[in-house]
Amino acid sequence: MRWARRTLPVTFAVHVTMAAIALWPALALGGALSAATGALGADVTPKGVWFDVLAAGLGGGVYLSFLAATGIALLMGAPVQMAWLFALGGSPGRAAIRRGLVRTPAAWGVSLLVLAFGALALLAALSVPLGAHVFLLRRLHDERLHDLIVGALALPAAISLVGAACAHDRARAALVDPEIGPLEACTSALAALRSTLPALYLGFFVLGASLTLLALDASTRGGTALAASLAMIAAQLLLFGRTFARSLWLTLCVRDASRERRPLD
Amino acid sequence: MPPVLRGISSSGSRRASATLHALACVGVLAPRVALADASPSAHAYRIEATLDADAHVVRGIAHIRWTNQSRVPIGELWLHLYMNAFESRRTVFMQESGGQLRGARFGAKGRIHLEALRLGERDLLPRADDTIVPDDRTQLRVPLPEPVSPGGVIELTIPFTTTLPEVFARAGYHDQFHMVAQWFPKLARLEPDGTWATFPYHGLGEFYADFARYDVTIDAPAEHVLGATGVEVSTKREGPRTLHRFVAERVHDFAFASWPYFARTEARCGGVDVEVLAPPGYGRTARTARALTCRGLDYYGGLYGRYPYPRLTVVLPPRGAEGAAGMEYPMLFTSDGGWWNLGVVHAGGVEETTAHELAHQWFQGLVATNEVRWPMLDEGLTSWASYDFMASLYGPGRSFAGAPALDYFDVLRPFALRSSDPPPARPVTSFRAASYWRVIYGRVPLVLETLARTYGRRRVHRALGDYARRHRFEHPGPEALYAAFDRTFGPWLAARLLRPALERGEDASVALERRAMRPRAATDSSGGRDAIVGRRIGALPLPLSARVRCEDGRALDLRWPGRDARFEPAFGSSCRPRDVRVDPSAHDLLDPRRADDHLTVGGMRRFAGQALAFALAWIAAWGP
Repeated sequence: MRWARRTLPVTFAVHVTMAAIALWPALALGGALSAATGALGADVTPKGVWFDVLAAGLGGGVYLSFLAATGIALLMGAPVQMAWLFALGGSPGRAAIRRGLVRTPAAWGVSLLVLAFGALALLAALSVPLGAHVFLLRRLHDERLHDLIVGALALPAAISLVGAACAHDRARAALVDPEIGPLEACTSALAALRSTLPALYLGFFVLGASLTLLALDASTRGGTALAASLAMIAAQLLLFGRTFARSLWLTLCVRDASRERRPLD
Repeated sequence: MPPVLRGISSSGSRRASATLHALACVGVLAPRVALADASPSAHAYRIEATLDADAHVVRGIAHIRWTNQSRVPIGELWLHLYMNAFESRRTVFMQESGGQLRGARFGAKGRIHLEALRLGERDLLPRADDTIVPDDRTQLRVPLPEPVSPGGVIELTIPFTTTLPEVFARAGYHDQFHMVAQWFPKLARLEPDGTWATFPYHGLGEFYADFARYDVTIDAPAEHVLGATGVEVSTKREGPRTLHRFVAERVHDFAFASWPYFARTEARCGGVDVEVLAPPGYGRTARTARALTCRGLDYYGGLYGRYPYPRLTVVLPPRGAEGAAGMEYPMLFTSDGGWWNLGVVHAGGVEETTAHELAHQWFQGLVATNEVRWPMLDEGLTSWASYDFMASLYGPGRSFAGAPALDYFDVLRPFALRSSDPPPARPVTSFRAASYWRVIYGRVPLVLETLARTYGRRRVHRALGDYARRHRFEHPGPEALYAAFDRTFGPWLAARLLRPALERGEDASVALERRAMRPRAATDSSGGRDAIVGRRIGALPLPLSARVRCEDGRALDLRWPGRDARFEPAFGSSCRPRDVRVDPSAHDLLDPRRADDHLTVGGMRRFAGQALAFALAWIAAWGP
């Protein structure tokens, strides 16, 4: 519980940062939805009316806002995550931000290395089902059998994707130690993949995705003004839950990295 | 297989089927070919064809008996050589289709070459002209040495070679799979006034021909499994080859599919032998196609007249031959869908394609309208019939998908009603692919479904059934459809609703508006609230209902008669309205904007929370 209390303010700060980035597309989308339904107060709950909204076209402004916010999120992803990791490792707020900014180039280096190694691993994993299709299965006329064999052979590719995503977070967590460079961080992350860490990553990923889907579902509920307000609050709490789940996962990464090295300050 | 489709029994084991087939071939069991309700065909095609499966070539000789059924002497013939649509990228078909169909692209070319066109001892080919449309040789005009008088009969003999294209649009080959359609020289249809209804092979339309007797013998590799228009009356093994003879009475086209690896499943459904040819591993999908076909024969047959032929073949093309999928021919159609069919989404896969192509057996197969001139009578009526069938199968509101429950018409409505599109009663040449889909597959079914929901589904079934039964084995135009609806609904229906909707593309859009009001008197119960007024935007005078919810929880159901252009709901002094909704049961599917059919007095903006949740979820996926 003490750990959770310590994590909560950091998680909240990160969530507010993400919400700030999301504000522009949210305003653009909300305005477009209001305009698309024509009248103030129109009810979009009945089946079929949502298709009207889609068909009306949400306009270039909405797409542009989402594109720009995605760009900002990608750009700010590394410094925010590094500050987050430092804060989870025990650094006080301002120090965490400062250290996070200092380690941002290293975090980008980690991303590039993981991307390169991940792509190689993915290609290697995909070469097996591809080779089987080209050299062995092309003349197999039972499509079901063909697809099941290719699907089974492609499973390592999915595993390599999970491994790459897990290694990415773990390598960035290793950067909390100022003496570790991107390459060393990746090496330690690769070693960590032999532990239970990938399974934990998958668990937290599924939890986060489920909370996000529940939040999206909750946001569309509410027949009366009060119910709509409650649904909105529930959606926001669920989304915060998703950020908190990620916080838990990143804390595990920081602890795993610190066990391998020396104690955190 | 969805539960609603269980219980359709197959005809037994493959061995039993093979035994029956063998007995039929030696004449112990005579296959049923003749139609119970058919008069002898005035036209007949006898074709002997050889399929070279390695060269993807069909060599054949067609013997055509043609009767002048018009009122005037005829001095020339028009033949359709539609395989020439695939001989270059400059043909009408290629120009209009862009050389692609549903993502499949033009590869190896196809063509048909006539070696001669004999009438008795004379070869008419040297005088024939195939340069009707520049760069397109899909039509052949053949001057006759002397006119054929009304009722006169001529017999043509045409040796030909058809090279199949790599399949991307309906006909062609993929590896050893062959979908052989539009493959032989075929006469255009002569109208009763003596004009030839001829046109090049269009990207969006191809069918219009006379009913005829087809007797086709196909010499194919022995290992190939064949499915074709007609009934297979004999098979004869000759070394590495097998001769298959198919006979069909009163059909207007002949197509066949051939592949060594087809798995055959069969069932007998209400007197019709249904055969499904599917790639190996397609067990569940093939069973779904078979069950749907059986249910459809019963459903469509009950509404639009019994399916008159003894056999129906359903072909599921293998992977790589998707361009051949979803196509209708008499007594044969190709369906769609992979082996993984889960039965959750009914649209687009084996369920919808089977329901749609089967409905074509009536609207195009039996009521043989001019597809190029009036596509709404072909694809339009077929689309409504199939959506209606799917709703009857899967339940109201589930015709598009079962989970989540989605109604096909709800999905169509916002996308299909675009005022800039041509009206439905236009020829295919008026449309581009997207507008064709919106108008013919979308707006026409929405018109019929709006009538069904407003005036009763049984009346629409009766009207369409009247049209289909009355014009079976005929070639009607839109007037026949309007007349059938007038006979059922009364003489006002076509003039007031059907013609404006189909010929002018009118819709039945309505909107509620808020009008600022001042209290008229101190005793005014509205208390100075805004007034709510309904206004017709579209020209169709559709009768509508409205539901008013009062603040005390009561609901008032009001009527908005079709003759009234405006709607001013009278709440009475005891009801302070909380919200007003026009057409609460969603009968009016010709309203492109349903969102403005509802007003809440003193409503609030509801979207801020939804938008923030969506945007935040999106950013979380890309953020730290």
